[in-house]
Amino acid sequence: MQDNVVLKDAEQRAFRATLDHGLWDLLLGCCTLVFVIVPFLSSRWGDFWSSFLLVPVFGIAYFALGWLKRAIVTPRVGVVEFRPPRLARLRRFNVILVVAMTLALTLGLLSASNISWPGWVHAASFALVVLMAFGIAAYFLGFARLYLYGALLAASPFVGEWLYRRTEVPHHGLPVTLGITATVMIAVGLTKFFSVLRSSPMPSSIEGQNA
Amino acid sequence: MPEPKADPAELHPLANIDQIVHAPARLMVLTYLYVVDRADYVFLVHLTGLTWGNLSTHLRKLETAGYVRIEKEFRGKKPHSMVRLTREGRQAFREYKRRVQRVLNDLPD
Repeated sequence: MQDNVVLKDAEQRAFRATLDHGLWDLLLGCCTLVFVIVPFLSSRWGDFWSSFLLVPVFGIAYFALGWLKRAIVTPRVGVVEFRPPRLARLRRFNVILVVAMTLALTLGLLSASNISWPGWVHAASFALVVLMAFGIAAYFLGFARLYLYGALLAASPFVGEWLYRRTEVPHHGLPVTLGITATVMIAVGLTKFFSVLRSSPMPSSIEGQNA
Repeated sequence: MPEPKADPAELHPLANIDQIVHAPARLMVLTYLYVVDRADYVFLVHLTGLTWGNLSTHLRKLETAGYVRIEKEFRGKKPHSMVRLTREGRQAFREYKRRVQRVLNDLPD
């Protein structure tokens, strides 16, 4: 049993090495940051056009980080292909995430079409979906910090509302709470990214020929 | 009458241990190759902490023993080598694991 634990640990370590470079944290942080900016734009551009801003920003962040991964991280960390059990686990993760996202969309549409519902219902449905999505990701991918991100995001509307009632922070305090969450994600991402750059230098051309 | 020769493997499970697998650096490389399908040199250097020279030497020994296969391919226009554990390598690692486990299980706490 003990040797299986060690081998499982080695597999987990190998898997983490391919994902734990901070770029996913940066992507999550950038996406969260957009939600900090959008409320301020909605008063000028309206809800639709300010929300429309999300698409290009997400796209740019995704492609920029994808390029960073290909050009900077992969040459340093290397390439690995996993065995069927890990691939099956990833497939299960994808299916469950699609189900969670469909549920999120359904709840979002229900919330949008029932504005008369009390605010806490919208906040609770948002928190539920976020906790579910991040919890699933943390469990299947083995990254404990995703639980923290999920908790911070889920708490954002409640803490924001509390701040709004106490100090009348604009937009129900969401820019503050989501801003803190985005800052945590980006700080973790940058720390991880620079740690990879420091610990794994780019192979020299002679070494590269071996690789 | 000559004494019958005892099989060393029957005397002690470690007596006939595979020396190719037993070296710490190679054991480390084999452990990572055992848990993944295949990996490149950079990944193995990154995870094991071995130098390029050391890794190349150990991989050559493992390849000579038939335990790993080095697959040359192209990524874009650049040549790229992936290392995969062969069936024999997987079997040798399992056998090594079984023997060491047997010895360790028999040891008192």
